[in-house]
Amino acid sequence: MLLIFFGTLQAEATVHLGIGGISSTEFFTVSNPGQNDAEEKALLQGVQFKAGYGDIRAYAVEFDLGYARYDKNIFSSKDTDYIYFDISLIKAFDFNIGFYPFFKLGFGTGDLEVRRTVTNSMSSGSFFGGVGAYIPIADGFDLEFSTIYRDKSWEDLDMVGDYVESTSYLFEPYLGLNYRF
Amino acid sequence: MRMPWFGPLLSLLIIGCGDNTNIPLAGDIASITVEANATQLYATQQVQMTATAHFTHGIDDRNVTENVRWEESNRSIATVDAVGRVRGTEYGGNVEITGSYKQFGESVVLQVIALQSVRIDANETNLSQEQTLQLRATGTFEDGKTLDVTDAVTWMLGNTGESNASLDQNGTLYTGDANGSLEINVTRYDINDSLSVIVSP
Repeated sequence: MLLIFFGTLQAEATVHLGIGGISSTEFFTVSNPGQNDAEEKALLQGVQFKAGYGDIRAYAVEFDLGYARYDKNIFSSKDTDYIYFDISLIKAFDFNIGFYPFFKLGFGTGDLEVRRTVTNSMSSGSFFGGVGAYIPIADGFDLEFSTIYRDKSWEDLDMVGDYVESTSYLFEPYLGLNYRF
Repeated sequence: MRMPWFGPLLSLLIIGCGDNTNIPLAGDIASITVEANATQLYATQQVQMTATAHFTHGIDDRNVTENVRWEESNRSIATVDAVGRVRGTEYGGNVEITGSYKQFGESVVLQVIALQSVRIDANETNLSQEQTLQLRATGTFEDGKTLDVTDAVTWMLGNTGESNASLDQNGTLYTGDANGSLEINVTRYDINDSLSVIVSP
């Protein structure tokens, strides 16, 4: 299966680099020990750098590095930088309509800087899937629009032998520019 | 290579300047307090320490005695085990018992009164074979108080020869098929006592 995938990947493959931004509302559920789940939403905004290899009209694999911030504190009195890394598999289509729709699936990991009593960072893991389109705008350049649904699990927070458990989800729109060579 | 300016610069571009000021959703540890069920103990006794974690966000306090790290300031006065049980050791004096978890912690000072002497008590010393006898050890402490220390001393049986006489660590002597004198010793650190019993058929 992998051989077929990478064989297909190499058909008219190019390397692409991209930069873009995300802005979305993330919905958190936090379970403090002995209490009912608490819910909150926070605006997540960030920039994303990506490097990929594949065919704009077929398959590609992509690696994303992002930096984002929330507009609210969720896990501590000072939640700050959120750095994340994603790996995506992309299947695009060429319907001769001037742009290339695609869907993507992937997973990622992240690290949020917090200021808690016994830790200064907490990690997250996520799975995501979504759809989007590449719109060629000049030789080698294309705009990318996409939106993914991302489900995150956050590292349990130490409460001396017990834990705060947290999850979150968001629909994450992305707008960016890619260069292929 | 670390670029400390990178994060703040991007955050200015993304969210704007200034920290978020709302109360976070997740609770946190506020403090850990430590208590002892007595502040004075005789060297052969135990004191139970209790650690309680206090949290923010109205999360109920919780007993975390088995989650904290227990330490004593002077092992020659007292030791504390992983579940917070303090036992006096050889010398008397004050000892500080600390329960800690990462940067949280608190200490309690306990006064240990040392054992000065020990005495074996037996209802009779002329025994017959196959007889069981409960022996007792009585300790006298620095402050003059006497206490039963049977379970806090080490019992040893000597001069048993080929017999099947035995002595349990709770002071129960079984004469078995012994014939003649049996030597009973108790010890705790350098404090000892001994007793001879005569066993006849």
